Amino acid sequence: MSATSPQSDTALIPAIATDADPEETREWLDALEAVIEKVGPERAHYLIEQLIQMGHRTGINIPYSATTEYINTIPADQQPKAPGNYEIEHRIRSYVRWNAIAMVLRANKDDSGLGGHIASFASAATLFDVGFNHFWRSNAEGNGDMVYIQGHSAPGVYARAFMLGGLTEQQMDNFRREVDGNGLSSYPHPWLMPDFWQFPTVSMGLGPIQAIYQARFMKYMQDRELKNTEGRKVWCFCGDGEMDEPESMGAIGMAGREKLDNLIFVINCNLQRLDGPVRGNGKIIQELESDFRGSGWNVIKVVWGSYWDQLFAKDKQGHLRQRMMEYLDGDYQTLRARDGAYLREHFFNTPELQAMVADWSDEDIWRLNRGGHDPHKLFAAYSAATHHKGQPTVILAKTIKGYGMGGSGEAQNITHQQKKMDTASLKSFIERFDLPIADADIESLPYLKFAEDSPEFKYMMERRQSLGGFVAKRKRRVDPLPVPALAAFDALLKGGGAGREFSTTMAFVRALMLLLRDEALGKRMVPIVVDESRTFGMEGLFRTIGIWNQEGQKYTPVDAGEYSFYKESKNGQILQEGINEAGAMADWIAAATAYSTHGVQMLPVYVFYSMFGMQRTMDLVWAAGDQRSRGFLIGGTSGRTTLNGEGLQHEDGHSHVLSATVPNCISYDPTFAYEVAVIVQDGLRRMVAEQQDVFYYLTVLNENYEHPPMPEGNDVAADILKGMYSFRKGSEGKLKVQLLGSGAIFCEAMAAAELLKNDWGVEADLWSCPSFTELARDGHETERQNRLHPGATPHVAHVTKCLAPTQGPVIAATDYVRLFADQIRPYIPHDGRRYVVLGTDGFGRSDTREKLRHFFEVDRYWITLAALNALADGGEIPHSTAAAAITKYGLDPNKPNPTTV
Amino acid sequence: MTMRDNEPTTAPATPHIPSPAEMAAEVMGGHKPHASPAVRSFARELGVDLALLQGSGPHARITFADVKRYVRSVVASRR
Repeated sequence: MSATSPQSDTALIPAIATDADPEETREWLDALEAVIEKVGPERAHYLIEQLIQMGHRTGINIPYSATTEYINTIPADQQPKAPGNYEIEHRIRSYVRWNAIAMVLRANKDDSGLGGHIASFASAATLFDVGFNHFWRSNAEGNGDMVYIQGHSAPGVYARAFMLGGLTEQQMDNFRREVDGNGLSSYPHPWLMPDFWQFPTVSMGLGPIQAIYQARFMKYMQDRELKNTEGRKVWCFCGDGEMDEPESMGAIGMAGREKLDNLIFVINCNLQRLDGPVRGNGKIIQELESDFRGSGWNVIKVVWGSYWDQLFAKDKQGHLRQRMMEYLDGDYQTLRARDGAYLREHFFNTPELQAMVADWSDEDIWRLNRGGHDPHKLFAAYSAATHHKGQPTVILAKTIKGYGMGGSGEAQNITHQQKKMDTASLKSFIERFDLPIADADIESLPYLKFAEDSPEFKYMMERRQSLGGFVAKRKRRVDPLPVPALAAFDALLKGGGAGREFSTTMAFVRALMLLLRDEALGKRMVPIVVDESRTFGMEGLFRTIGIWNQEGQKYTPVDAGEYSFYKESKNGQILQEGINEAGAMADWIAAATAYSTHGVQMLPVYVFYSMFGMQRTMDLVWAAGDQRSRGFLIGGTSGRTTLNGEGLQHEDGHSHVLSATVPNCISYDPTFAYEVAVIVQDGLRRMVAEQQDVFYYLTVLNENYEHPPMPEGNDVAADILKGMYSFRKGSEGKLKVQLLGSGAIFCEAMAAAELLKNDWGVEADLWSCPSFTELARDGHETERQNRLHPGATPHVAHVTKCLAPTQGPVIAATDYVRLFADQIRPYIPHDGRRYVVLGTDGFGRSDTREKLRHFFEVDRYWITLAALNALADGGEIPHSTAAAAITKYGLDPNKPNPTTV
Repeated sequence: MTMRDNEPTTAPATPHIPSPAEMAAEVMGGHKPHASPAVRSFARELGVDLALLQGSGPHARITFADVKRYVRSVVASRR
């Protein structure tokens, strides 16, 4: 290793060749040594800091090194004595290890290909156990710690729950067999096991980013006096390979800046990812140490286990430390896949190092353990982390992947995917962990349990009782709050009056204002923005409810004294995430699940630029669904042609296709203010009053136009919610068409109805369709219902019900890709009528709304043409009429397809 | 032959881990006189071996005054 490498060089005296004045160097170093010896390391540290500061002040560019030596942060002689009975804990852990393996092996016994993972939990068992036994307080009632379990380690959590009587043997056998009921999900999924798992973590990287925002949301709840979260912690377990996901590390700077001392990351550094080493040529622990420390975290490294301590005691010259630093991760992995003799030969490779272990046997050397497999070292680290103030803590624990699996998996590259073990490996596992399984029984892979009167069972129970109950327990509902009646939104229901134009974004903001003033819900609203408040006209909220900032506002805002100045305060209500959609989505999830994690119903409203919502953070949206989130997602500036000017990357014409894929996400693309009011009010009813685990996605527009009052009629509100209602009937006539639309394009359909009547003598019925997605879901359900009940009175889909009594072809136009409105095609009455869908397939581009709607062929003229063509195809008018419309409206028949240009 | 799992069950006896002071003394080759770089430089110019001095500063740190006093005493003793 080169002597100039700053990370690896532990020699205190630089090579003479690079030293211009060794005598002077010597004097400085001697002086320092004397200070360390005579006064102490703290004084030496102070002097070094002063020297560096002096350097900075005089303009010397001194690069900052954030790493320490490759040893434990807490030295052996400063480590607190861990309470508890570690012999009992080891026996318990050995059973947990076995059961976790047995359930995976049993699930894969018959070549069912169900999969599962053994090696991840094998490396993490002690990391979890110390938490279960000594630290994690149950959050079953929303008052404890929140633990994000590393997804691939789920079998270990099941194994423990089984031994405590929380899961049955039958459930254990149903690992990854969920369809027939009573199964256990592959990974933590609250959707599938709503009483058990709290946090989905298995899409790599989403656990860490959610944990960070969860920890900060705890501080928000505390500051706003909605919940006392003092002393509660968020623990997040992740793998070292997982840290390569941008989401894993993307928010660690925020955690440092916000001083989240209620947050503890435990990174299981087993040095391996799925295919091979994480950093074969380097050191993942050192890399993570500098990343986290540089981001303002407290870093605790747990590299070496207790058996190394006696070697550290002998290492007065620092040879061992130097060797530890220069040895590479790839080599460390290889060491643990070999044996003591190999370790002696390859690691203890100099006379000084050899001398240290000269009187040790190979077995003694092989016993040298890693920190992550040493409960005493881990207890010391966890204890230090829980007491640390003013910073989040990351614990970097070095482990062995496949620990205990022996030659069949331990530290092997293939180990992550391994779900089978041969009998010889099992036998040595049983011997190694001293398990009461006879040779004859090995093949049957029996589960192990301690009798209820055994010391082990009592110990496990006592530990959990002292920490408030089980960790794997999720709260499903809270007492409902009263929600305002629809009449409370009267201002939106009665429209704006003639000549008064505004946007649905403004309508939504008004609804939000009303809710913020609501006695029961006002405090529970959590507006979340990503630096786009002004885009959506929400800046008025800054002054009225304030932007939450733990530090308050220490500076004078540039707009101080103005009416809606930029107000930050400790009890502010808005979460302003800056240009950070993933963070805002994680915020939203924390608030949207507060009913479960805090036992306090919150109602988050996250307003984003619609193109950067679903498309950008879809994996988090999916996790939000899994987590049974409740709240509103608002896609502002939506619609491919409605957001004019901004162009290809900004104009959203497909977020509704994405939102439709999330089963518990209810999506709407409203046109008028009263639609917004009806949808929001019903959302409150379902999510708050009825405690349904659904969430809402609404797209709102920045185009201003007139908003009529809500049409009269008993069914209007109900039909809006179903996704389609009669907006206006055309007159009786020989020629009729049905025009459907949503969002801003419904206004084009209204204009097309005029053209059809005035230019071509065709009457049109107008149907506003706030949710093609809900219509399609209703259709799917109806169709399925009828298929399963042949001969029974058939159910009728809402679309079919609306259109059956009408006449003429059906034309739908939206500002979204055709797929969106095409969803309802099967439910158009099967009476020979045409269903024609216009949409905005293709890349957006910059221009005026008029030009864009012409380009994408969704404006009034194209709707009119589509209607005439459909009538002609049905033989009701000659095709020459449609051709005449092309000429009359100046449409170019040779215009290229918008998707091709 | 399988080795029994060796996670330490009883709390390990804590050995004495060398302190930074001990390591500093070992690595730098012995106990050095306690003096600042400036005093060291001054002593070097005058050819004074600091190991022979008793410091009068805090923690027996050797000061400029100590070096001067020492030089004076040596010169005086040679007269």
